[in-house]
Amino acid sequence: MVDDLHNAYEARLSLLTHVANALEQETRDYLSELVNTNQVRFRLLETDDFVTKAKQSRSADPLVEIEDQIVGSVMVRPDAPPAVEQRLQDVFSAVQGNWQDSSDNGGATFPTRCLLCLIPPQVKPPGWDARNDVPKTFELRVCVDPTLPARPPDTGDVITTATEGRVLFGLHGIRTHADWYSDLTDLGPKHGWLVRTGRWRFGYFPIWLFVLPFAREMKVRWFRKVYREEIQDRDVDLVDGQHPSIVAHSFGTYILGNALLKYDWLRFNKVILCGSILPQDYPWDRLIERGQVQTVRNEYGMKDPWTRLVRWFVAGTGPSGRYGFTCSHERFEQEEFAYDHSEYFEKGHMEAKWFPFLEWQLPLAPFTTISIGRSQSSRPWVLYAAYAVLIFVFVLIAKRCGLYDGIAGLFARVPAHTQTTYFEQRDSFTRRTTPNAIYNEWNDSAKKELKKHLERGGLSRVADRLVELMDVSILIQATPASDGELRVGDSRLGGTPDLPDNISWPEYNGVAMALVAQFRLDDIAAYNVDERIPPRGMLYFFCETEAIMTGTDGIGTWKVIYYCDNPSSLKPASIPATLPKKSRLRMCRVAFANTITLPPAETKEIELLKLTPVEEKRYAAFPVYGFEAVPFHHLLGYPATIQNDMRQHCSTTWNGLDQQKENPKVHGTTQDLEKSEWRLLLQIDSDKDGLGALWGDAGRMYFWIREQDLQKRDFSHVCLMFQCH
Amino acid sequence: MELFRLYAFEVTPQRKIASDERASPAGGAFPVNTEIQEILDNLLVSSKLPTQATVDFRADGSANLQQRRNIVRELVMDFAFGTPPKAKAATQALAQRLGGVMDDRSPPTLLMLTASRNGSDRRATLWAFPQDEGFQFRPSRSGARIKVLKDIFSRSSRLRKAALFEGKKRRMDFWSGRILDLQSTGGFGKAADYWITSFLECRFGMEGEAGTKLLAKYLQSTYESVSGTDREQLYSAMVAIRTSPKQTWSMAQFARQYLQDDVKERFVQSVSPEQLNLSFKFQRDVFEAKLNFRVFQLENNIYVSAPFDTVGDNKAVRILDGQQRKLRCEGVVVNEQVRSRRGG
Repeated sequence: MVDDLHNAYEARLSLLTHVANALEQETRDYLSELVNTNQVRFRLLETDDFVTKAKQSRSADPLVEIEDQIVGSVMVRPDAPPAVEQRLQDVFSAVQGNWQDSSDNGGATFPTRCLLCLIPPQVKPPGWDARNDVPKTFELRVCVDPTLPARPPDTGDVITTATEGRVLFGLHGIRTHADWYSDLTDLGPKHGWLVRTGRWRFGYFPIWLFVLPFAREMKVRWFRKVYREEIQDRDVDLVDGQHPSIVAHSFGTYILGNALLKYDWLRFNKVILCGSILPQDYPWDRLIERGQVQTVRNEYGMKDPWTRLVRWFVAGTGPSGRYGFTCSHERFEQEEFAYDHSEYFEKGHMEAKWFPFLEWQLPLAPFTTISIGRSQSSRPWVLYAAYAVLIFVFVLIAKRCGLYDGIAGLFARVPAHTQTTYFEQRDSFTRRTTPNAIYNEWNDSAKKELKKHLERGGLSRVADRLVELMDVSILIQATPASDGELRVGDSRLGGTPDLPDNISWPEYNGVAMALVAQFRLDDIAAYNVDERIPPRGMLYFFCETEAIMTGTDGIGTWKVIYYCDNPSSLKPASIPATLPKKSRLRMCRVAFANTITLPPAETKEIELLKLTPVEEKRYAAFPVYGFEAVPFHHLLGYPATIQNDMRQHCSTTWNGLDQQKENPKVHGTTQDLEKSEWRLLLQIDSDKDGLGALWGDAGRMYFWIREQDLQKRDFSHVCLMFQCH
Repeated sequence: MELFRLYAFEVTPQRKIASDERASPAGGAFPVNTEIQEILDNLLVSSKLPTQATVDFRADGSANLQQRRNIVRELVMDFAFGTPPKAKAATQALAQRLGGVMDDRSPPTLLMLTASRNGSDRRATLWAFPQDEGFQFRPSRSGARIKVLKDIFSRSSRLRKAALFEGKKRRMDFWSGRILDLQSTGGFGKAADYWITSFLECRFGMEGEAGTKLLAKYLQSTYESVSGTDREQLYSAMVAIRTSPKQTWSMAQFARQYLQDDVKERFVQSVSPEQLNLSFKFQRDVFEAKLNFRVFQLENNIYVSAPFDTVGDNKAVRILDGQQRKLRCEGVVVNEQVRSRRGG
């Protein structure tokens, strides 16, 4: 029971986090005129606390009824609560409020006013209201902290300059709490810069973690995440063409440098490096040419021993903080100081060196797509030697203790027959003719089987969550049909449709579209889990295949028609003269089966799992579609993508936006949500033997539909995407 | 859901009558039959009630929110979950309450309350159908007969109102619901105050669609109240918000971001104070369906925005279809401005 609760709560964490983040943004926005927005924080109830509360409350449905699963706190000075509370009551529907004498808040205690509010509709992700395992309320705590500094006078100047792109981030190194941030934060507004440091603290980072490659890689990913959050933050009001600037020190330079190479959508205006540990041949000149950074200043210290030694211990580092970089560019400057590793943070130095550089006015270098290779950094031989010694000592001890065989077994390769077994057992993932009544039994066994294979594939840590993400799709097996083999109204791929009198063969620009598929929905009913597609009627998919092949496709070049009346009134349509012969698809009879699918590796769902690099590789190699059907036609489920996640493109297609022109601000925020509304309706693979069609280089067609449209049985906003190798 | 409880009352406006002198509304429980269930089900669908604007019950009524209660919510829950006597008392109290907040500007109304169930889930729907007049036409051998009916309640009147609440019998259920009020074309406005604010004791919990419709409505009304360059400013705002990467807006934010001077003031004045700061997720398709403008983006980042009635063959703005879609616009320039396109 406790485990169930624990798992059920954990399973929704990403959803609750999304709501908590949205609420934090809302609250900050609403209170921006009353309190410092960095005094507003939202968090989720810890899983163990939730389980304890659930046990204490003995409520029948704790996932819904525990009221403070999302908790926000606003720190205010003693004179602020009435105005803050009034504002909160104006904008949120509060159902209860009471004063607590004190409240534990990060170790300190404050008199606190707790408001219980209804979660407002605008922060709810799609499908929230339809779920029966989510809370309806959140708790907002207004904590009175007399020690809080007075809110600075109206920061009109700062806001004005921030909207002009004068936003500065800080990024600290290892074994520090980044005390220099406070000086930078003090000086920034005086020079018209909005200094953002709150999110840029990653805590005290010990040296033993620093030498571990995966720990450094995690920080690079963390950087990407924080950058996105900052860009999306309402206080960072950057518009197109404006990018933030950054000051990075020591390990911060490593994180920054590696993130810039790994994620080319990251953009910075000015970059200041001090005590850099990047390799000397790091390609700042190429990054400037690419337009990814506008100007760079490197400050290095002749008394800095650490940057000189670091390359012997840590891969991908170098002594650029001791000797400078080797590259040159008119937008790149370097200066040597008689400093040691951490002597760059005097206020006087910042005033004299950093802010004049930040004011350097240069025309914006546009972004180009030149590729940049990795630096040829030296190997950390000292570290390798230390590893070798450690392993030698470890093996020696293990042998002495008789543990060697057991340990060696742990490192043995997974036997090759594991993979074979997986494919031999694929039928356990495919439900061909079983009636709907035993669907649940099949579903349960498929989940168990999937979990087993995920664990065997080295994905035990996330196996449960991946099983949660599993989606059932309807596999379509197509076989060429001979003339007269199919009756009127039979399901088919390709060929000619059977249409009622009131539906004409769709055209685009005077050219008839090819029939991609015709489904008698009765045929699918046994596999139509939860009736996600209509249980009765006919569903037709048409598209102008020439437009797709020539890349001139767009809204209007495809059509999906749902006919819900009696299929007995259908008549075979005669092929219009305007349908080019080469566009026609060979008629195939179809058979259906249920199968399972998992999200493709490059989707948001998988990104949220925060896979380690090793797990990423394993997942990429994992056959996520439960089988490898070729050709792979199916209804619903996840798509077998060849390129990137298409959902955002679906949104932009319908919104008439050009995806290429979007800025990063769009990518990580609202469109992530919007694209999650899109789900796959039908995937049609290249099928030379069946349909007689090869879409580009073994490409696939994907018909997408928004979840709400599917529920409303509205197929007028379906979006067709095409991908090939 | 299975309809299991149906009450109806004829409610007459009694706001100006002292509370102890108010007459009890006539009505009570009615048997549920297939015909009425079908009519009410159809009405629910045709009114799109489950997707209308959301409202939240106001708690306590006092500023300190010490108690978690709202009298109307409790009556609605009594009606949906209570025993028959309790449900009856709740419906009478609701009918009495409705009469008490209606004044003579409103016609007598048929208050119909239905409760449906599906396991432990309950749905309570409150319908208010205004009294109307109609003709009854009856052909007979001696000739057709027309009769004026003055005591009918119209189920399709634009003055009809509804509220829907659903959930389980839990502390946090039945705090939010949906309302329909066609009288004020978007579900909002002073004329509707008696239904939402006074009768139901609710406040708006704005959703994207509702908020976007509201924004479009206020933009339209502001547009109609200004002229010349002020209209240009509103045009620009309409163009810019469609392509803005920011999706969550409030009326106040919109005004701050896109409007200036007199237009900003007029726009803010047209918005009810309660809605000024409520944020909502902007829905482009809803906005465009509501505001009949076509906005064309041409190569070189040129935008052309035109009212629908100016676009088409033989009109000022023509679209030439060919391999490339082209736009031709012709007209006399009467004004021009230089400005930045924000949020584009």
